[in-house]
Amino acid sequence: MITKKSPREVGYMREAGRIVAGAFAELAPLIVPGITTRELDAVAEKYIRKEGARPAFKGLYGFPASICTSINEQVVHGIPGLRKLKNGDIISIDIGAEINGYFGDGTVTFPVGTPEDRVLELVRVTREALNIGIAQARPGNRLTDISHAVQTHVERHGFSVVRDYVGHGIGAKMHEDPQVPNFGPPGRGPRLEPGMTLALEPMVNMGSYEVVTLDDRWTVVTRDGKPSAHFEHTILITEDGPEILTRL
Amino acid sequence: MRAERIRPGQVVISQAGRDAGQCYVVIAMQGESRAVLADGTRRRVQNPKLKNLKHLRLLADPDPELLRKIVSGERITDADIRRVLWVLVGKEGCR
Repeated sequence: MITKKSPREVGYMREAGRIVAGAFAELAPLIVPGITTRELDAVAEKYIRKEGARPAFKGLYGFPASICTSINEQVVHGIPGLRKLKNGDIISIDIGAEINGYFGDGTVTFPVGTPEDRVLELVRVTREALNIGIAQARPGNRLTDISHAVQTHVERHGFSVVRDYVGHGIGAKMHEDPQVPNFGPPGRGPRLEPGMTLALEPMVNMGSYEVVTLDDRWTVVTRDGKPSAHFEHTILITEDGPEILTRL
Repeated sequence: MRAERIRPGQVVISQAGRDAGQCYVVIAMQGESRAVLADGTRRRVQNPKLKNLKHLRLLADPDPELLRKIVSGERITDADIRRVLWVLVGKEGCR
């Protein structure tokens, strides 16, 4: 069931979203060759707690860290550790925060130093695809209008959309109904209404869309080993269109 | 988040049709949109039911032993299916 949020609930979600965005602002200057993903995890957790929130991924389904750090061919759910970032990497950082029982969820893929042009294009197209999807999140549209817009933009640039992971409703739980695929025909699914809150998160692969999960049972990588990018915002659907909650 | 797609081995509940509320084990997929279902009693492995995924809701992840049989290509028996389902009957709207 898709829940519509009251103004009070939206207020808490704005707060959670602001903290997620703030955590990205804290991390951005640190993303340079040589830093470990565990250091990034510690900085993010400290910031989230300082703001009075809780890192929402810690312990979620048993996840062992506060943020997910997925490098290059890693698509999603990479576990922070002692791996150091190298010049030319890309790293997708996924951050969730919970405050007053409400959640915010966001992801940014950062280039480390200077990746190859085609990799930078992958990152750019993924960010654009998210924004194009968000633009479809307006009252009267149907859910898969978002999905279709994302897929169309991605495939026009010769990249592919991951099928096995999807966006989701969000609010009093990190994962609520509905699932929001990033592919498929338009005009299907529930009609979007003001008060719905969604986490839209296209994951885009340079090669094939197929992914596999590593033996750590968390890290998802592309089957062909080519890089993958991921952007995510938590949004609120208003009468006037989408409002991005995870933006400063 | 991981897409909650219906996969072989899972337990599903019918949400539409004369069997609404009936629980089944997914024993295979047929194409993109239909699941092959059995409940071990009325619908046996020899005579499974085909049902559109739209009319099913996921109830439980695969039982490990059943999943092992599916992956290794071993034959699933009606007894396996009854063993998985009987603990669910009466719960979660299962009948």
